Amino acid sequence: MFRSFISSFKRLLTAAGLLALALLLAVEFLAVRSGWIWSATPQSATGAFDALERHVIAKSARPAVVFFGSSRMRDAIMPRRLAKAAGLAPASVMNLGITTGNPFDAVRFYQRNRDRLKHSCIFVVGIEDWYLNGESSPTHRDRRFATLGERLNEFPSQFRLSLLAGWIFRTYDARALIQSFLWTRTLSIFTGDDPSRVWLTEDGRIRWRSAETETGPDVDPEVGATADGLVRGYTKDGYLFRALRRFIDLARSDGVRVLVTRVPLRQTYLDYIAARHSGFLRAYEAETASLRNAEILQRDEPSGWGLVPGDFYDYGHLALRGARKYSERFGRLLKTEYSETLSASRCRPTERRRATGR
Amino acid sequence: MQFNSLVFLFFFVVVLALSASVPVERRRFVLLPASLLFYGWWDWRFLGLILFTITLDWACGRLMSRPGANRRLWLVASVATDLTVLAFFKYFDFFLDNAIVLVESLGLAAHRPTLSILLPIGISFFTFQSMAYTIDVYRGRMQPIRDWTLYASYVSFFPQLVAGPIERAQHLVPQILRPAPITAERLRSGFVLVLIGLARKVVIADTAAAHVDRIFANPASHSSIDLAVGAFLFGLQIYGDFAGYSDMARGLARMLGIDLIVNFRRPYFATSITDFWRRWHISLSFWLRDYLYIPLGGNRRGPMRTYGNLLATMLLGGLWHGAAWTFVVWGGIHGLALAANRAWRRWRGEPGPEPGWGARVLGWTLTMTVVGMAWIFFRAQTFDQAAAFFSGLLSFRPGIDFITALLAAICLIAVAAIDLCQRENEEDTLIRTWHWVPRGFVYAGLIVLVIAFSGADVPFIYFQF
Repeated sequence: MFRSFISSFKRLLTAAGLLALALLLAVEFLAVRSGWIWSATPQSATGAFDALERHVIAKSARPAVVFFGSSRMRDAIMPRRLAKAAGLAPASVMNLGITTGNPFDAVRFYQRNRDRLKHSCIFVVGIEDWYLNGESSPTHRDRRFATLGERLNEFPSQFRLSLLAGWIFRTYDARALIQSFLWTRTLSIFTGDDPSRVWLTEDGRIRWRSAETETGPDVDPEVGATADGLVRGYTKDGYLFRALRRFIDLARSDGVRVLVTRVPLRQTYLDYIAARHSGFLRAYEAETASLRNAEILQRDEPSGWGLVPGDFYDYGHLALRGARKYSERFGRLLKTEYSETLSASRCRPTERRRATGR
Repeated sequence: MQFNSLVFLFFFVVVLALSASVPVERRRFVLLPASLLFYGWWDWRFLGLILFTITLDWACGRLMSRPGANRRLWLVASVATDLTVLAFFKYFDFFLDNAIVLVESLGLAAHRPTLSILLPIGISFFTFQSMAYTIDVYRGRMQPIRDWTLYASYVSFFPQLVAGPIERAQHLVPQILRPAPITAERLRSGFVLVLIGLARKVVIADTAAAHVDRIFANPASHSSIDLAVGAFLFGLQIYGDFAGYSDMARGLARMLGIDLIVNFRRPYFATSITDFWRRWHISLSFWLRDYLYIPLGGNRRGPMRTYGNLLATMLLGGLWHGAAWTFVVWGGIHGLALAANRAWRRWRGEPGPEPGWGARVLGWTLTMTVVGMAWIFFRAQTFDQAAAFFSGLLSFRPGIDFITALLAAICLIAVAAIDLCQRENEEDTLIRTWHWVPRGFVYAGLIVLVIAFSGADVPFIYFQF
């Protein structure tokens, strides 16, 4: 019986099947294993990681304040506006917030660019309640930048199969890149845009789409659904919090002060989480409070920053108006409460270079 | 364990190999534990529930066949228990919330008990499938099944367990009893069906989902054209999602030597709403027809009663989809449209002349407008959201999001291409008749696309029902 099953499989190998197999192997070796697809998609979330390194970190002076975090941090901080409010040199603030960004990325960013970043004065790390979501899977950046050993050690066991599959068949690991590549190339046919271009704002922020919105709606009817999706699968001491601790320890070992904060969220989101996911919220607060070697800036209520519902374009991403308010207020906060740290000599690289004529 | 997951891939390869290793008449002894493992993988706590439903309906069917048995009593016991279980797990919160609103509207204070009831996956599907069996036994259309393992294999058959098609025992049980041999031909055609289903799901539906979610999240911030595109895209999304699942279910079952019924027949080519329901979620429409519409009287008691029966059937059909009034309104729109179509056909005189091209185009346009409008209620989570959507649609706010419009156009072309490549009876695809070179490119292209788009990990929409 089993032998006939095997012979059935043999009969499956028709000419069309063999051609399909050959084409799949060509994609695997020529496009993926060669590394080509990884660099050909700068507008993807993974490509943005490269782009931040190439266009922001590599071209910047040594920054005084660096922000790390997710897309909410990416949208919330306007570096130049914040620098001005904080009384810092325009290029001394850097926002490394990134789409689906997490502490694992922050560790990667820091390890890869330590020489440039370790002279900073303050790292502000954005944290999210969904760091305790045991179902949040490794991003495609993690798949690219972490070794298989790190991935298997760091990530929860339910992802091991997928990580192993991606290691054997790299096309699987590169799937988001292939998708992004196909989409940007298709789009460029109609728009004439250069798909290899990176969207950068004037203040050196990576944008995730070509246009950003000035204001958002007063009501987001999908807040509940978003919250339910983000905070499911609660895991105590999740791997993202472990990565966050590692990041803090790394930064502290280089003498950088670390502030941990949560970018404000729409009030209805906070109310929904408090009402429907109180256990999750308590665990998140306890996990945050247990962080050592970092200062916790727990001010995620929008009213505390003068933010109104229309300042968000969804449950918790700031539109341009909200980002301006938040950046200015954050800058003023740094100026008043962290002036001593920011006036230290290591935080004035721009002036020092000017004085030495470099 | 979603069909588009790696775990399922490994699971299925093992099940397929084991199924091929045992004689066909014993294949159900591989399929039953595999199906229970598949179901338990979602949430092992609900294994008890499905086993309870299976055992209850199997026992009721057996008891009905005993000499002198009170057949009606056992039918009522089976149907009432099935509906109670369904009502408790699926509609408890819905009924409770509405009761609280009612009590509060009378000026009384109401306290909501904190009872977090989880919805067992696929409960609506397996309950309907199991219920249909006892009704058919009662009606004498089906001999009671003596072997519990056979009945359990029928209700829990994993390819169609969580989102259909809702199979009739008369069709599936004989195949489970003696499945077809696993041949190269079955593997090949099943694999192509799975591949097409995956393409529908991960390439079309999941891509559309991100844009649909964005548009429905904030209807007030989008132009009227964008909202229309959003509603249109949702129509493509839900079709890709559900028809994709059905294709995969049929492909997987075919590889295991079992043929499931066709659940979709190019529904967006329908030229009337009646035609639409003969093409959309066929297994549910037939279920509703046979076990609800006809028992209500069908079309046997005059035109007004027929219209009322159509409306009642579709209202309940809407509620079957989800515990929310928006689903009831969706069903109501379809019920009214079906009644209107019925009245039109009656006025015109059936069967009437074959409609010409102009009439077909007009019929198609009307049908798609009604279907598209109804989808807005289906997708909206609240009436306020639906109202904001319609108000935005009618505000004629200018502007167009080029990217979403382009994506909608690409999705439309992809859906049409797949539909046209699947023959009318959906048993085979035209691709398989092509020369091996373009066929090889299409297979490789589909595989790469499915892999590339598989990262979103969006659950199937119909899993929530």
